[in-house]
Amino acid sequence: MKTLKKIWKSICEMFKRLFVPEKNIRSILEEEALQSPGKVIAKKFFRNRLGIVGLIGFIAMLIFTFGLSIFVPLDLYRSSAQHANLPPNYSYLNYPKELEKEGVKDIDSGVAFSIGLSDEGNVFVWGSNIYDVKKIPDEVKAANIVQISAGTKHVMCIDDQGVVYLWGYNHMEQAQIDDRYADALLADPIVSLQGGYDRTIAITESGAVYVWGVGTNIVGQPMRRSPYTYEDEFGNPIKAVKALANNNNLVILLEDGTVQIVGTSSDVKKNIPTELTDGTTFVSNIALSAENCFAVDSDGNLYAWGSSGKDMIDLENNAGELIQYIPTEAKTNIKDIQAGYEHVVVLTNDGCVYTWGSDSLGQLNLPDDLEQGSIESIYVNAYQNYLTTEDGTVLAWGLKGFLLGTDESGRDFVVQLIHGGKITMTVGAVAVIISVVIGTVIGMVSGFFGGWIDNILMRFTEIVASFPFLPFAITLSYLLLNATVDTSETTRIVMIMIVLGVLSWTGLARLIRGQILSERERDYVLAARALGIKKKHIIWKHIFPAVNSLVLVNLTLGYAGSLLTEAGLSFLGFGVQKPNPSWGNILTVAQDREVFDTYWWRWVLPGLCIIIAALSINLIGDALRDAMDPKNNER
Amino acid sequence: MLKFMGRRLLSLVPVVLIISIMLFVIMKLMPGDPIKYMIPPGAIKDPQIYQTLYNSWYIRLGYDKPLYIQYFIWMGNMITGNFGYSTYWQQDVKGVISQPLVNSILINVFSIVIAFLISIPVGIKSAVKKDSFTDRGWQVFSLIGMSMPTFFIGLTLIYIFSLRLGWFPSGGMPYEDPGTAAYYVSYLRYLFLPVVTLTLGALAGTIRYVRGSVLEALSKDYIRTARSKGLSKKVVIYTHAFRNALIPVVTIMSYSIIGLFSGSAITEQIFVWNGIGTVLIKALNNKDYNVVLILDMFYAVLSLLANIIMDISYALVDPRVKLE
Repeated sequence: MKTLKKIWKSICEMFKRLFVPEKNIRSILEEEALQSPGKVIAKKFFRNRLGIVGLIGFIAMLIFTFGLSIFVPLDLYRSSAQHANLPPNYSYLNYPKELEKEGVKDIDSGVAFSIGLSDEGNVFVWGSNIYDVKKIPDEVKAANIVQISAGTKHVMCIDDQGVVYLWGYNHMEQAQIDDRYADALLADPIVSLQGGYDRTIAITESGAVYVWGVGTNIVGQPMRRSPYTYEDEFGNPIKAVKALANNNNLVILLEDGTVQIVGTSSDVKKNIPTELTDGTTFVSNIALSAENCFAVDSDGNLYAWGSSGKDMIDLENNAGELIQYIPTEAKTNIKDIQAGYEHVVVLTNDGCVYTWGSDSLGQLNLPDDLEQGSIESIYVNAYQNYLTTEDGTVLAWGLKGFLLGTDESGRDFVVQLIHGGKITMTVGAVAVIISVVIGTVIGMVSGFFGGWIDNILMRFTEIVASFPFLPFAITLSYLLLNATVDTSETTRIVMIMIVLGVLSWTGLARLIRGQILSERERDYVLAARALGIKKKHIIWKHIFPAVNSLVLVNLTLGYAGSLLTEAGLSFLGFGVQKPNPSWGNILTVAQDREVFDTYWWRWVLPGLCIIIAALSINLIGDALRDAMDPKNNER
Repeated sequence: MLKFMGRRLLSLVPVVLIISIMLFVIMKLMPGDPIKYMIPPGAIKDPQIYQTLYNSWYIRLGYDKPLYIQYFIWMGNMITGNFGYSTYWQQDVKGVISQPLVNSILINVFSIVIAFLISIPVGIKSAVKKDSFTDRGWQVFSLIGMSMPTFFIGLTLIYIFSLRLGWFPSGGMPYEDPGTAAYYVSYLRYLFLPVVTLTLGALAGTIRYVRGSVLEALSKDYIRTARSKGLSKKVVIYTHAFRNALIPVVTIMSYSIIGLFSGSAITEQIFVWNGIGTVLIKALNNKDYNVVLILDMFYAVLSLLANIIMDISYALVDPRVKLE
């Protein structure tokens, strides 16, 4: 009886085990210290050093593109001809310590460099070595220089013997004494030189003003007529004291305190206050920016006129309200005024500096450690600013340089790379997601359902797969870019994503179908079926995880591929269109031999970005594949 | 075998038909009026004469007929070898694409052959001496190569070998009279950099692939059997492992033929190589859709043929594949 009971009990137990999953059985499994597949994969992945490198590289690229793009806005239409094609350099403000030690006599700045003159007569040039401005001639090093000045891309010096030295950019002969005036200047030596953008302005002993360089050679150009000489009503010459030039005008301050303006009929010439020209006010100093002019009278009061579009002069809006750009403190009591291309700096008699104008390149960012009230002198030009305090220390602010150079419109190349990367990475990601979604759906449907559905889908896949990728991508994107009615930038980019995605899913679809077909025949599926598990459950819980890893690995490796494809398409001009930057279309300029040869950073850097991004993603993909393949611990 | 090939070729017909219909529709959707490009701009001032000329072209090109008839006419012309007239080059399409076709085939065949001549031995070496220094080196090489856009490889090569060292021309086609010995020498010089670019681009993928498949083959049971029989390492690798590793390699070979051909458009563009890729881009930019249509068809037929070649060579190298 007892044995019978025992047998009955064990039979019951057997049936129970067969049909009712018991809790204590699970607890045995739990005791086996099982890990979830995700955890295993993550563990394996992080044990792979190359995978980590890839992950770090990818995250760095993400931060560089998406992260930085929040802080650095893209200005598609900004252009600044002066800054075009500057090589990578971030030392525009790194003045030599010797200059500070020897005492600053003068500093002047060009577009990407500054030149300094010490009290001991030594010349220093720092910043970017465009057109060899940093190659100071040996004679200059030997001579005792008394005056310096800088144009946009050339520099000039005079030594104590009155000898003139010029070097730098010489495409319009601005860095040499003009042949037309050579004889006259021999008889009437130069006493002071001034750079005026790509021009050289000379004032001679007799007070005449000569200007040569860009635009002074061409008939019909307003600054062609040198020398400029002035006389009072008795025929006595009035000497010029200071002469400045921008691209439109030559502004001359005469010794009688009047201002003369030569050149095109710009706002600077038209809007000059009459009291400055008729002699009622004695002007003691002038400053000239790209589109505005400033004068200071003998009492230290400011006069400002010129273009109203540069935030540099006070003006009335339509409602008749006065918009004040000039700080009130900077309107009187002026000791010195100097102007860059788009901003002005004023030094008052009580040793304070004030600045206003455009802040496009950080030229208004006064240094934090600036102590107002102790400033001795200011040296401002272009976008660089320097000042010296009473104890002789030098402070600098403004344009530090362009870390990765500039493009043909003078835009900072870093910004281009950041935003180009953002577009390239997005296009690649969306394209690969589209392709993976299509591929997975078609592959799974084909694999699970089989029969005529499988047949049709596979024929369709075969047709799409026989589309040669690049020619079809080019043709399709040409069609979509040109034939669509809505040609906004975003639509175009979306079109590219779709073209890339739609053409590249076939491989994955076939892979997944094959995988599902082979998994279906595996023993574990058979076992699951024998246990009576529902078909739906088998598909999702048993077969799908096997395909899962395939999808994920393909997603990663396909991402690298679609990055490269986007770059290639854009490079050919059939991808993302300018002015929207992408790494590929930034590289298009490499087809221009001049850019290719001279401005290396404009094609090497975007190329490197693409390589780093694609390499990181490939490394991640490899590591993922290794981590996800349970059989594979060695490959 | 012949039966299989015949059947396989027959199965191409519907695919080609469908592709040609799709392409035809795409071309019909293309923007611009091709007739305007047939008549030189500004050649005829009188609008009335222009209109009659326009109409005559309109009828001559068959635009007055319904779309499906236009398609059949076009298809019939294609089959009989009449590829139409190129509006941009102002001559028959056949004349436009024949020389570029030869040029493209040359650089692609050269680079495929070189790529496989290099990647098969390298792949085997890497797999056999897995994790050795050379293996790691090639792994790094192929990873970087895979992550490098072809045009960047090309640009770098031009910069180094043409601009800095001046060994090879930076691009273009030889200008000597065709047929002379100097022409062929110069042709090879112009050919060199594009071929190196394409080879490098293809090498990265193929080395990885060959290595992977050899590794896979080496892990099989029959290799262990062969080893335990006491066969020499060479025999094991080259007769047992390599033959089996060849099967996937055949696949990638056909893929890389397609890939190279379609991808060489970029390389041709960089090196100003007068190949069909350059012609395709030029034709698209100049709205010469006849040429675009033919070239796309050519690419599609080429890739279909490559697939068939793959199937057949599969059968040749893999005894398990039954053709029937």
